[in-house]
Amino acid sequence: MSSYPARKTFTSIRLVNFLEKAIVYAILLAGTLVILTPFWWMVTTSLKTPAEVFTFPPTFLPHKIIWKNYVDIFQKAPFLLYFRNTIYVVLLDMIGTLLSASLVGFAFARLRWRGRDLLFLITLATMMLPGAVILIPRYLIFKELHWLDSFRPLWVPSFFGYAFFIFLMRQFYTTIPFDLDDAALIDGCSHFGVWWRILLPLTRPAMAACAIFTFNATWNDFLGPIIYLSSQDKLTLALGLLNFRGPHTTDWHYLMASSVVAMMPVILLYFFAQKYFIQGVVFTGVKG
Amino acid sequence: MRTNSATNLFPSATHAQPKRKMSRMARQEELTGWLMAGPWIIGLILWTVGPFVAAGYLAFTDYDILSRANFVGFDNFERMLFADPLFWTALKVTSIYAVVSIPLQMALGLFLAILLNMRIRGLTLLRTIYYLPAVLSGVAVSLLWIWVFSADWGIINFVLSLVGITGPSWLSSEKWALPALITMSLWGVGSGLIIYLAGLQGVPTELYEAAEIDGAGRWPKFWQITLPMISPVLLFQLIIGIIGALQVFTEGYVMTEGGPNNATLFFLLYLWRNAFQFLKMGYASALAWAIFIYIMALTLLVLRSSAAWVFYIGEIKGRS
Amino acid sequence: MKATLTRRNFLRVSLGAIGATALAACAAPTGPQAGGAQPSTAQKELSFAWWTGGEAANKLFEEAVDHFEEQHPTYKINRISMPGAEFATKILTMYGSGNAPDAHGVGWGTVWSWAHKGILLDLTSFVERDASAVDWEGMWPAVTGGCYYPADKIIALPRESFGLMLHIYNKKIFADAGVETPDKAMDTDAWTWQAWREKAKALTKFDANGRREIMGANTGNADYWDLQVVMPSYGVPMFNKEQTHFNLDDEKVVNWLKMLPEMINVERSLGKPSETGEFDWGASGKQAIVQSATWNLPNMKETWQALDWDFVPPPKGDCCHANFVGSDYHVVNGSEYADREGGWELIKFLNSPKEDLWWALHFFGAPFRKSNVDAWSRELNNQLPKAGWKYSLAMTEKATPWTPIPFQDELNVILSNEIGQAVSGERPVDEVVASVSTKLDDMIKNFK
Repeated sequence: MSSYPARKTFTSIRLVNFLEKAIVYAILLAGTLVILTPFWWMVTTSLKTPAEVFTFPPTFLPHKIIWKNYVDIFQKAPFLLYFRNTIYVVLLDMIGTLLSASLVGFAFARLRWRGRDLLFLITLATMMLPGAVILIPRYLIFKELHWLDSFRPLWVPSFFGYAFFIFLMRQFYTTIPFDLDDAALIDGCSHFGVWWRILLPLTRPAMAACAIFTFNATWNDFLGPIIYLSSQDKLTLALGLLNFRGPHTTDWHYLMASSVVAMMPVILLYFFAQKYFIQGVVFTGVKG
Repeated sequence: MRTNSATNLFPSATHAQPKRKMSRMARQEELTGWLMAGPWIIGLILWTVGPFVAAGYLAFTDYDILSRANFVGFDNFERMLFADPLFWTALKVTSIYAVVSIPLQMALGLFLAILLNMRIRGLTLLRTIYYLPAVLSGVAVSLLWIWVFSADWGIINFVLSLVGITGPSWLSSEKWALPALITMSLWGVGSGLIIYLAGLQGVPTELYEAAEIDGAGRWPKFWQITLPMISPVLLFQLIIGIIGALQVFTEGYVMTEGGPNNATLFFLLYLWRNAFQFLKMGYASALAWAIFIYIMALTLLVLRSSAAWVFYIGEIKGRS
Repeated sequence: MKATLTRRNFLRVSLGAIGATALAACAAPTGPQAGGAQPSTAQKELSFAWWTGGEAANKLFEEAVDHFEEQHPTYKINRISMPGAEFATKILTMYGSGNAPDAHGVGWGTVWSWAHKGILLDLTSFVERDASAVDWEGMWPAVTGGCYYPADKIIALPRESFGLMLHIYNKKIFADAGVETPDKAMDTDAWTWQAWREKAKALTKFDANGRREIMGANTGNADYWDLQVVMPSYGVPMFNKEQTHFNLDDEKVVNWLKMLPEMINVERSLGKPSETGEFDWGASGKQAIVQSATWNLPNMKETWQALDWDFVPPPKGDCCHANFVGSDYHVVNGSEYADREGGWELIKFLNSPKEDLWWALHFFGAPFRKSNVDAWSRELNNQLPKAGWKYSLAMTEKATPWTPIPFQDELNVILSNEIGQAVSGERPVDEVVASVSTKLDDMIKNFK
């Protein structure tokens, strides 16, 4: 690595640091604006009267803030039931995904076994065939298992692993030095022990990413529930949202209000899951 | 730093010594590998192999979902390649989308991740905001964007008008519809951001400290430490990006219906129409294999090339 | 403990998950397929699927099925309802897997393509057998026209009508501009497309910066839907006799199409389709004439509350005022495994005159039967007093019959892919019409 002369005066370093921070903030805040503008519209729409929703020109602030929209949606649709159903599916799915992705990713990244590389390619391949053409065969399988109109088609597969998450975990495992495994193995640890004691704690940021992704994807999925569920009392949140679209018209104020409510849990989860990113990984024992 | 080994594709395989007899430890490793991957293999057989075989067979039939499938040989493939201009249109549109959007998404995602990995105030809130777009999906998003792109009253054209440019009517313009959808895809860069952030967290701080002792500046640290260390994550993003971009569907389905004049006819939209609207599931299956082979070829190309640019830390010291 | 996801916690969660898995596998609700022991009474189970647009609509369906169960105690209906757009995908998947419902709803257009594949039960003999209950001749030809496929077989009963196409006008804008309202022209038979164009032009207003303050009128996307009204009003049939050609290239239709880009770009009395779709200029009191249909009236009752408005039928072409009563349909699964007799009983009941009126009143669609129109419009006039109701009977009588074609979806895709470019003036109308017509002819020729 080439070395650079680092002979700057104390004040110039401070100035550079200050300028640098200012630029970073400017960029990030500009991006924030781009991201939040549409959300602003979404939130204000959820607080408008139906008459005001699409008035022209659009109003930046509602003339009158209608908090009642948020009360109404819980009366118009059994939202608590939708929440319960969704949480049931999402939690099981998330646990299954984390467990299987972590284990299978480990096997792909850090263990040598015959057929591994071929199986890894097959794993990648499963993501490449468009889902539309395997919808019916898959439905048939769940029909044979007598799982239709139950939540099982939506979460049981997660315990067997999803290719995307396995691939993700595998890539993260490869960023961790092998010395750790070797040292533990020499100390008499089993491979399972290496996964459990050493690598699982080290892949926490990746696991947090997996958790957020799978939570988000399952939370918002509506094609799966539409195909596999039938009864009204089994609807999930994403389907419940669709219910605010009438046959010919859409209750935008309700749709937006319920969208805001529906995305809250995901945002909260992400907000709190962040400490896993910040805590970071300290590779004790890498040196030397 | 060791690079350019042909087998870099599968890092630890590099060190697998051919042995006539497996040691007890190697056998244990083999067994654990199979045990750990076991559920995945069972899952593959249960939910994936059957459907794949079915889809493979259906590509050679005139299956319409509603009546019995008849074997038609290579008819579907012949039609696809020689008699269906829309197949090529869809392939072209999707490829352009992928070629433009993947690099933009990766660069923007990494850039933002690096900024959001700095020690600055309000980090948690900023990270949450940047992830927001990924949280939202469904009709609300598409409506939101139809509004953003609106010719006369949309935000984008409003901003353009401030600098004296009259913006086009994005979504109904043959020329601008695809660029509009690509722009829209950048809004959702937040989900890639998470992965980059997680990757950046994995870079041992000792490496930076050592470089700083050597007096290395920002750029050398980025090029010589950050990029190589997170290159497995970049590889992941690139492959997932290819798979995702070539299977892009929702935007074309909801916002433009593939128009105007097929300007946004994404491959999967065309496939979906054939399968469930036109009841040509057999033909749709043939289309599915075409896109499968296309994605697979690109993925293999990337994997092959990755030997030259992906760095696996496992190779620093190698294994016994 | 600083990290929340410690190994211990992870173990706990994982074990919990495995436990939950086992539990769920035993206790999770099972589908109707899994139910082994059915009550051995004479009660027959019947599965019925519909798509819902909104909770309110869904409750109406539930209620309608309740009505049936009350009057047919031997039947118990397994209700399958899913919101929205992917309903057809779900039903197709169920057909593909051999467990489609005994009876279900199916959308306009789609019904003929499915019938073309021969999966829907041929209801002709059932209609004959139960002639007095069905009262086939009592329904509008416009509605029953779509129930035939091919021409000699009845494969569906109407489920709900889309209602009548209306031109709704804001009286204040007319008064401010000193323009005569369309109902006057209606009475003298002068309510033509030309009159519509002139009024729209006269009513449109701009501010000092040239931005539009008042929009004269709107058009849809000039898609198949809109053409269903326009083409018959010029006396142009939708298809040629052999149904091998869609008459988009008829001179009268082309002239009508050419009028739109002029109105949009020269007179600026119409918004581009993309523009008018997003903002409700009408509800904002900034649009003089709005093209819509009866189903939209309950919604407008709320959003147009503060405005003084009324409605008339669509304008007149060369030959006549035209209208159309679109409909979705109820069908019976024709497969061996389906309870076809039960399915027929159910959809026959849902279509019966009393249910028809009940449904049309709640949905603001139009009733299927001539005999119900009077009661329907009188009742609706109580709910929403408008002079326009007096045209109800005339509008329904003018409704054009459907042309059942099995390639509706293909046609829509090809048409709407390019027609918007012609309407908004991005491409010459003649060029688009020629391009679309060639593609349509090819598609129809190759359709199996």
